[in-house]
Amino acid sequence: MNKNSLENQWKATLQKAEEQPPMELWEKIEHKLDADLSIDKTFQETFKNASEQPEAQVWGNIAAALDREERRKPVFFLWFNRYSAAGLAALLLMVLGFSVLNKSGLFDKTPTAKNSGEIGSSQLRSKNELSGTAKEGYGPESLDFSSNNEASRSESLSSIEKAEASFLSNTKELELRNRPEPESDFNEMTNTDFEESGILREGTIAALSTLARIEFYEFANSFTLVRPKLPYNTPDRFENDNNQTFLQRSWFGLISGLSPFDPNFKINNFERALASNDVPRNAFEFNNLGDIQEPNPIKRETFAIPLSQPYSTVRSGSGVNLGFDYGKRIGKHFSWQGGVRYMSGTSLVESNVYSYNEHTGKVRTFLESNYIRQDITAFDNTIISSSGFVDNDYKYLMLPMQMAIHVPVSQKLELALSSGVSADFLVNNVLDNIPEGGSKLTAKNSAYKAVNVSGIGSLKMNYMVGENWQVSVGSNVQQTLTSGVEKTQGFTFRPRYIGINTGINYRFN
Amino acid sequence: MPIEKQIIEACLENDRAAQKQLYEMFSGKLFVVALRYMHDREKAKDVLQDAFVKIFRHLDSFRFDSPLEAWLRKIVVNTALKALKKAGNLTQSLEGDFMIDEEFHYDNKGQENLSYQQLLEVIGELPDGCRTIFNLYAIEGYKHHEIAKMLGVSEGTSKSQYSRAKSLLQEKLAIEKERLNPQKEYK
Repeated sequence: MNKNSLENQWKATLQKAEEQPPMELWEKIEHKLDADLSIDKTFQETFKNASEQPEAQVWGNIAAALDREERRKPVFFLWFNRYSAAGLAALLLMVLGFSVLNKSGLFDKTPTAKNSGEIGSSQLRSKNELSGTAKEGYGPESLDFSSNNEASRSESLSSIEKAEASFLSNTKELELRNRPEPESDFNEMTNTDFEESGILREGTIAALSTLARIEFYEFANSFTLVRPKLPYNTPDRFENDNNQTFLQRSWFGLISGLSPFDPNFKINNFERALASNDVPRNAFEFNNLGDIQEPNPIKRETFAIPLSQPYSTVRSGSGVNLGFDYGKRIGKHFSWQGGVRYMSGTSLVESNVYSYNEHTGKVRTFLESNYIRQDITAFDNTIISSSGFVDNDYKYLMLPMQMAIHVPVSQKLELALSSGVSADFLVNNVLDNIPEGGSKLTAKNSAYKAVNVSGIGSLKMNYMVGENWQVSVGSNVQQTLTSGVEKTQGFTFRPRYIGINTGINYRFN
Repeated sequence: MPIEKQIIEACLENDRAAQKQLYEMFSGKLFVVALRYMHDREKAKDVLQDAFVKIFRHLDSFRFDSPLEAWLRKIVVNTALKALKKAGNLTQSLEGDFMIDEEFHYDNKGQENLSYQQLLEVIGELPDGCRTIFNLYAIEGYKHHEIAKMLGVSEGTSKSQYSRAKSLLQEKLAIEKERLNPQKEYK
């Protein structure tokens, strides 16, 4: 019988073999199964309807927590804290400034300018001429206004009164000419009557009280009478025009910027969090320096100097942004603009605390495993002390909306100061550079919020190149108003950037 | 409209009276759930408090496709797991070797007389890790592979910890029963 046939025979015999085990074995099994079922069943049934009211204080705490939550809840989705308050205050200031300045007539045409076309140059100087004179010197002596005969007729007045009277006589005259039905005592007077009546000489003060309200600029003073003008004034055709189309006085722009990028992490109780993860005592070694030899033996003490303390610092990196803008002028000096921007920011996590998951073999920074990551099902509870850097990069999609005030400098150059808010959508945060593999964190698998709100401010110089093109360069600042994570996560995350922006716009005139 | 739905809708409007009503309806049962996991009453109260705050914050995500109690219970369980994880005792107690007394047999008669307080006492004496796994498997009804995923341990660990929990519970229940009925004998 060869070897193979013997094996086959044994195999067949053993496969067919059968022997009843002792009876008590089944009893043991049955007993054990019953016990198993019984234990589970006992607990299941007992706890099924078990109920015990907690102390009343628990509801009190819950209600208090909900109240705090409600108080924090904003009108819209902003958390109302000091940052958002600052942003809102800036916005309010801007809106108020706009309305106040408009009301005060800072951006209105002056009456002189309004009438300059109608009045002959021999009778009056234009507004620009007046201000030009004022710019040369603000003292009374330098005020060399139009009516030569006024000075001779008002010798008894002081020099300031003379200047006022002189100016007012001009403006008075203008007012009278433009009003179809004058309401003052001058009702019946013709222009010639006015010039020849001598009212101004006899009743200059009365004339002042009647006319000053209409003619003086609020920002004038007794010396200048008119405010210093901007070097260049936006043409009047850029007044409010409600019939503008979408493209009229608007622009499309391409912008890009560079800035330092600061994730602005603030971690609470880092060491305590570490302690609660049962870090072995030897994770952070202490160097026992032994007895320090002091001249006085009584002062001899033993010091333990930590060789390394647990730390986790997020260092600033750089940020690049690229985007499109659409803007539209409102009135002569204001505009609003909105757009979309893609921002990529780098930073570094510098830490000597990493966590290791024995089941997956993954190494993560303790910052990630304990604070940021939310989908962790594995406990990365093995703490490794090893100093190092990890790249910590962010990508955002931003939708900024801003109001701007434009200050013309010359026909081609203007300054634009803008502020507003931006909705920042987190694309991802990549923590990389660990040989065992990095992490890509999103709002889904981490403590990060999907949307943040940030305040933006910028100061730009815009320069027209040709008919429709404009280039701009300036600085911008952006600060996240709401923390990028829930408050309960033990850290806050409010990225900020201060940098330079350049852009090119195509303007529709 | 069922009363439960009415209460939820009022809670979504931040109606504090409705929130309290919901709390009173379920806080008793959920407190016992928290006690099963945390053992320590103060910690259980903290868990219940955190869980209810989460519940009221995220009530809008309840889709009415499952019983409300099951949804609430799940939140309490998750909150308790998070608290145990934060405390750091959970994984530590899941590690290390342990012996199961395979020869120990427990007579299940008379278990129905044990109150939940007595069972809580017994469960509370278990180490955090195997108490958690016993709760999740035997009472909540999760499978071992689900528990493994939830706790970040292997399925084998979950199974062995469950066995360990049962073994310990059997011992403790036997002692408890003996204390209550000293005349009976157990193998």
